[in-house]
This record gives sequence, structure tokens and C-alpha cells, in this order.
Amino acid sequence: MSHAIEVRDLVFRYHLTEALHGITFHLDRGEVVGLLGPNGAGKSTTLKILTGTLPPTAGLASVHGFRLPDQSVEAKRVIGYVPEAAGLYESLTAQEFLEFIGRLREIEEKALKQKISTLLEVFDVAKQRLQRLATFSKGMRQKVLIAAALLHDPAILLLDEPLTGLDVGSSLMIKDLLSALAREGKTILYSSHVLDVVERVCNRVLIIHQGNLIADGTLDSLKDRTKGDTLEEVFRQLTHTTATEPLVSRALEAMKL
Amino acid sequence: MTVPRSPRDRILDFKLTRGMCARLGIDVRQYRLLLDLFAILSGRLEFLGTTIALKSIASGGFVISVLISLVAFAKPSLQNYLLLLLAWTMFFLLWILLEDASHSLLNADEASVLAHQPIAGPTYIAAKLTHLLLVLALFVPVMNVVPAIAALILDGTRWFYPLTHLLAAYLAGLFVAFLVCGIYGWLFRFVPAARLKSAVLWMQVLVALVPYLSNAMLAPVVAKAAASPWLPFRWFAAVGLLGQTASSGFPLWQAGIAVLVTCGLIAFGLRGFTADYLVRVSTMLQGSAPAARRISRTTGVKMLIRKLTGAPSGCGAFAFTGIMLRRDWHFRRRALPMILAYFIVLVGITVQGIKISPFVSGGLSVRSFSPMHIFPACLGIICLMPCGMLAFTAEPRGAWIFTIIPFERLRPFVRGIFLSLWLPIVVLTHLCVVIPCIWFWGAGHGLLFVFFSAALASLFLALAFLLVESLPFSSAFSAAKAENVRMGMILGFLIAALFVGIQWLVFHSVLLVIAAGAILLLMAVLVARAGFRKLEKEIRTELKLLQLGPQHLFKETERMT
Repeated sequence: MSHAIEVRDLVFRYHLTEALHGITFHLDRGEVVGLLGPNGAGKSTTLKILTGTLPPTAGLASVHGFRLPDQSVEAKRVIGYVPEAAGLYESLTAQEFLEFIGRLREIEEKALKQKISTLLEVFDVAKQRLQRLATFSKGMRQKVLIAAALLHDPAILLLDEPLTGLDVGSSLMIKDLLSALAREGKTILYSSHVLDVVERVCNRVLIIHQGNLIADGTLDSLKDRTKGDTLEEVFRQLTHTTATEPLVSRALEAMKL
Repeated sequence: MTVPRSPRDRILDFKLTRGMCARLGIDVRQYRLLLDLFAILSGRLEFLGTTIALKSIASGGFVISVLISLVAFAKPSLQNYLLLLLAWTMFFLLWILLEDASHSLLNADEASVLAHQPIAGPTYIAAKLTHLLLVLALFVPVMNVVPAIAALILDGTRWFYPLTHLLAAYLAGLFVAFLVCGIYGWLFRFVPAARLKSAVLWMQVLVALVPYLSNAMLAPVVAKAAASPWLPFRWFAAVGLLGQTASSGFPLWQAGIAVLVTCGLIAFGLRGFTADYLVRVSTMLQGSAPAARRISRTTGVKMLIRKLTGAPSGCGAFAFTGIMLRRDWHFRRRALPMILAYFIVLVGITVQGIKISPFVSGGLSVRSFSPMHIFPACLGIICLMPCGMLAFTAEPRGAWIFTIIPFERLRPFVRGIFLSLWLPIVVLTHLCVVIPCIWFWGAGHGLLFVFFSAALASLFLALAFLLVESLPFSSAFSAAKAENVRMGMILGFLIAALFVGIQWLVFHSVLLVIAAGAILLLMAVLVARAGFRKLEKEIRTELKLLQLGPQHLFKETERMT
């Protein structure tokens, strides 16, 4: 049986810049994997390739056995994706937007209405369901995007910084929801900078640095490898993140110029 | 109870339609959903600047077509009359559809919403093409019904001519729609995603320039083309003349070959919209082409601006406006073609007029008129365009950045905006013409003309600056604001015409020129100050609104529209 997600020698080039230099990894069904890396490392690019939004320059990417980009429509049917930057039709209401997404995904009308109603209540935006998305705050938009990703009960969830803009209560709820989804056997690839969430939710971690996959393993194996006690220390060592003090003092100096 | 089905649904439910859609890879259910979505978005003005503009452009097209139909009273031959109308219809539609299609087919924001949804490229493209065909359905009758009926007064026209005329116009329109999509398809195939927007923009600029170039450069080509069977509007003329006593008068085999070749090229282009269409469009958001490296040579200018505006915020406004004038997609699409066109006219005026001094030695006569009398007014019209469009942007959400401007520093900020227009348009242009003016007319006359012209152009800019209603590049384009801009432009044209006449009278005496120049300069300063005060007040109000958050702003926008 094929992997839920398979990436082999994946290269992505944009203009003259190579964002991914041939990364290889796979996710089995039911795995919850954290995707970490500094800004510009290639995390979002990897996710966009897996959602069929970007075409790979070279290498293999497949989701649920569907090869990308050739079978991207089939792959998109089994994916729920929360993008990093929220693209929404601002003049639609939350209800209309979710109805549109649900219908695109061929959900029966009766079930769709129920799903929307429940998800909006769970995410605490039920009262604003008939307001246009242009009036929504960043967090509320994020909640609508998460609801849109979950509507069709996807087998695979690709999450790119899903907690951005969410309040504490909603963040806690999403974290618990992810754990529950993992128990249900969903495959989740979770990209984030928030290390404690990854530490809590994910049972395996991938670290991308400058377009290369520099670590792939369970938290314990990475801690053993780097002799670090926490994921933060593991991350610092693997990405060669230098001590922050000199940078802080330079920033302070620049501010006072 | 059964809900009555719409004609669209009935057509889509035909077995033949379903079979055709399946062959083309179009998912009928998703196609319907997308059409419904586009209709809702159009109704709610998501496509700002398209839906609104289309209605007003259609009314403009109607007025022009009524004027063209007056040609019928001059009793031209039916064939020439039809050719004129088809050429006009096709050019107008080309202009409209190039713009509308760029908004429709290259909408990266929309692609970012839909690219990860399971929609096949052909389905999305089919929905978009349907939208373009609806535009066509609006424009063709608006532009042709009156002229087609007016043609009945021409000799040898039979009663059914309006029907064949409309059929020919529809076919021509359809051809243009496919041609435009074909062109975009070609661009899709061969232009990298990040450069698509720029490529389309320059194509639009070229088309917008055609009317301005046609007299001087294209007239011989157009005259030759009108008689050629190889050109599209001649083919459709043959359809329009069906059953009439006049005939198209060209061998059909030539037209047949031309039709086949063109269809082949269009089909090749359309195939460019393949399954990865949404992916390609969303890739436009991935990044832009690397900006050309520039050596910083602006320190001196920055010092000068800092001094002229009186605060660093003025310098900031100058830099920001300057950059956005070059880069804002909305400004580049709406105003840049017109500005470029008028600059071409300005160059034409200078080339033709530089040898004829505007200083008149004899009495008043038409012979004493030099094209250079139009120069300052033409420059003034150029000032109108950026001022009219300055407040609008494709990305109004970025306007929050202005909330950091200290309220007590608004005046320097406003001065900085003004200087960002005055320096390149008025000062730089006159620096370019000062040497040729001195060369041809002598130092005295040359410098005096430049002084007068710069004063007049500055006054125009100051007047145009009154049109700026809010922070630069901070608002979405709206119907109400567009109407204000249009009225301002019409008024500006009238004032410009008045000043051309005044200048011609004044240039009979050097002393008068000096006096008029000084008065104009003084007026420019006074009007500019009034403009600063007005804009400062409006920005203050807008900043307060911005600080209240997006929800309040949205309600404001709704109230206005």
C-alpha cells in the first residue's frame, strides 16, 4: 500500500532561485508530522506542492497515491488545506463561502448545512455567519479557513501555521482537535514556528533548512541525536541558529541611530 | 413543488451539452457553481473597476455609436458604412476584453482561493470564458443597434439589413473574444508566470496607444488594411452584406485561408489554458521578477525634498508615492496607458512645433499659431491623470501603514505627495525641453517659454491636486469616486482648451508673457496651498476611520456604494 504522502528528490525552482534542493520524506497513514524550519526554508513551498498549488520543478510528489501535478484534482479531493495567507472572497458571508466550498466538494446539501452550522458554532463564529468576510478579523478568517478545510472530512490535512491570529481558547481547541483527528487515523502535516504545539501534537518532526531536509525522526530520536532536552534546543542546533544576544544588541543600536 | 429551471440549466442539461463538456473536461456541476459565484461577486462588486466600469463604458460606446450612425446621412456606400462599424466594434471590444480578460483570467487572488480546491482547469476556464461572452452580449447590441437601423436610409439597403448587421457584429465580437483568449493563451505558454502581469499591461498600453498613433503612423497601414481580404473585419462584412445589393467584393478563398490560419493560432493559444491553469495563475503570487538593481543616486534629491517639505514624513510620502506610481497594478493598468499616450502626443507637439516659435511678432492670425501653444496645456492634462487615480489601489488593505503618520506632520506629508508629481512631470519635462527651446528660439524666448509653461503646468497640477480625495493608494476604485474623477477630467480639458487660447493671445508681447507667467506662478502657489489644506483635512478624517478598524471602513464603503 502506498504512503499517504510521498516526496522524493523534490526540487522547486522559481526564477533563478532554487527553493527546494531535492528533499525526500514520506508520511504513513495516521501519522501526525511537524514540519519545521526558519523563515524562507521551503516549508510553505513544500505544502503548496503537496496541495497541487505549485508545480514541482523535478522529483516526485504524491498524495494518497495520486501523483502531482498530473492527478492534482484527485489529490485535492482528499486533502484539507489551511493556507498560510488567508485568501477569501471578501464579499461573501462566512455561510456562503463555506456553502460554496462544500458544494465544490460535492457534499450533500442537508449534511452540508449541518456541518457548517456545527463548525461555525464550534469555532465561535456562528453569530457572524451572515456577515461578509471583509468585516472579519484575522482570527475569524482563520477559523473560517480551518472550517473550510475540515468540511469534507479529508483523509489528509495540510496545515500551514493554522494557529496564526487565533485567541488562546481557539488555539487550545484546535490543538485538541488535531490530537483527536490523529487518533481517528487522519494523516496530518503540520507546518509551524510554534515549537511547543509541534512538540505536543506531532509524533514525528521534519526540519527543513535552506531548501534541504536536515532532520526526519521522532522527537526522542532527534533529542538523542543532538543531545538536546527540548525541541527548541534540537531546532537551534540543527539549523545552526546562533545565540541571539549579538543580534539583539545590533538591533538596539540600529534603533538608537 | 418543483423549482422552474433557468434557461442556462436547461441548456446544460441537454445530452449533447453534457457530452461536449465531458469531452472538454468540464465538470458541469462545478461550472454551474462557478457561474453562480461570479454572478454573486459581480453583483457585490468584488470585481471593482470591472463591473462598474463596464456599464459606464457601454454607455460611452452607445453615444459614440449613435454619433457614428450620423455618417449614414452622408450617404456612403453600405459596404464602407458596415466596414467602418465593424472596425470600430472590433477595436472597442478588443480594448474592453483585453482589460476584462486580464482581470478575469489573471486574478491571482482568486486563484489563491481556488487553486487547492478540486477544480479542473477546463471547468474554471469555461466559467471565465462564459463571463467574457456575457460582456460581449452586453456590448455588441449597445454599439450596433442604432447604426444598423440607421443604415436603412442608405441606397440599396434591404429591410432585413439590421439582422445581418447584428449577426456580423456578433460574429466579429466572438472572434475578438476568442482572439483575446488566444493571445492570453500564448502569453501563458511562453511568458513566465511572474512576468505575465507586466506582459499583459504592456499589451494593453500598446492597444490604448493605437488611436493616438493612428493618424500619424498607422493611417497608411489602416487604409491598406481596409481593402485587404486577409483582415478579419472584411470577412464579417461579407456576412453583414448577405442578401444586399452591395457585395463584399473580395475572393472568398483568401478569406478562407485567413480564417483557418487565425483559428489555428487561436486554438493553439487556447490550449495554453491547460489543466494547470489555476496553478499557473496562483504562481503569480509566489513572487515577482527580481527588481533591477539600481545605484542609489537620490541622496541629493532626498535632502532637497526634506528641505522643501520640512519633515522626514514629507520625504517618506515622496518616496512612497513615487514607488507606487511605478508599481501599483491598478494605477499601471488604469492611468499609465493614458499618461504614456499623452506623453507621446507631447513629444509629437514638440517635434512639430519646436521650429515654429510661439512668440508672435505680427497681428492675430491662424498662421501665428504654433503647436507649442498646446504644450503647457497638454502637460496639464497629463497632471490630471495621476491626480485623478492617485487615491486608488488594488490593495487597499495596505492603508493601515498611514496610521503611523503623526497628525501634526500631515502638511509635510501632503507636500511630499505633491512634489512626487511636480518634480517628474513638470520640472523634469521642462528640463528636457529647455535646451531645444533655447537652441531654436534663442536664450530669451526659450527661457521665457519654459518659465511660462512651467508656471501654467504647475497651476494645472495644483488644480488637479484638488481632485485627490484621500491618502495615496489607499482606496478601492468605486463608481462614485470614478464619476468625480471623470467630471474633473472633463473640466480639466475645458480649462486646458481655454488656456491654449489665452496663451496664444499673451504670446504677442514679451512683457505680457512675463506678467502672465508670474501671475500663473502665484496662482499655482495659492491653489497648491488650498489643495494641501483640503487634502490634509481629508487625510485626517480618513486616518481616524482607519484607526477604527476594517469593520467600520467596510460599513463606510457600503454606505457610499
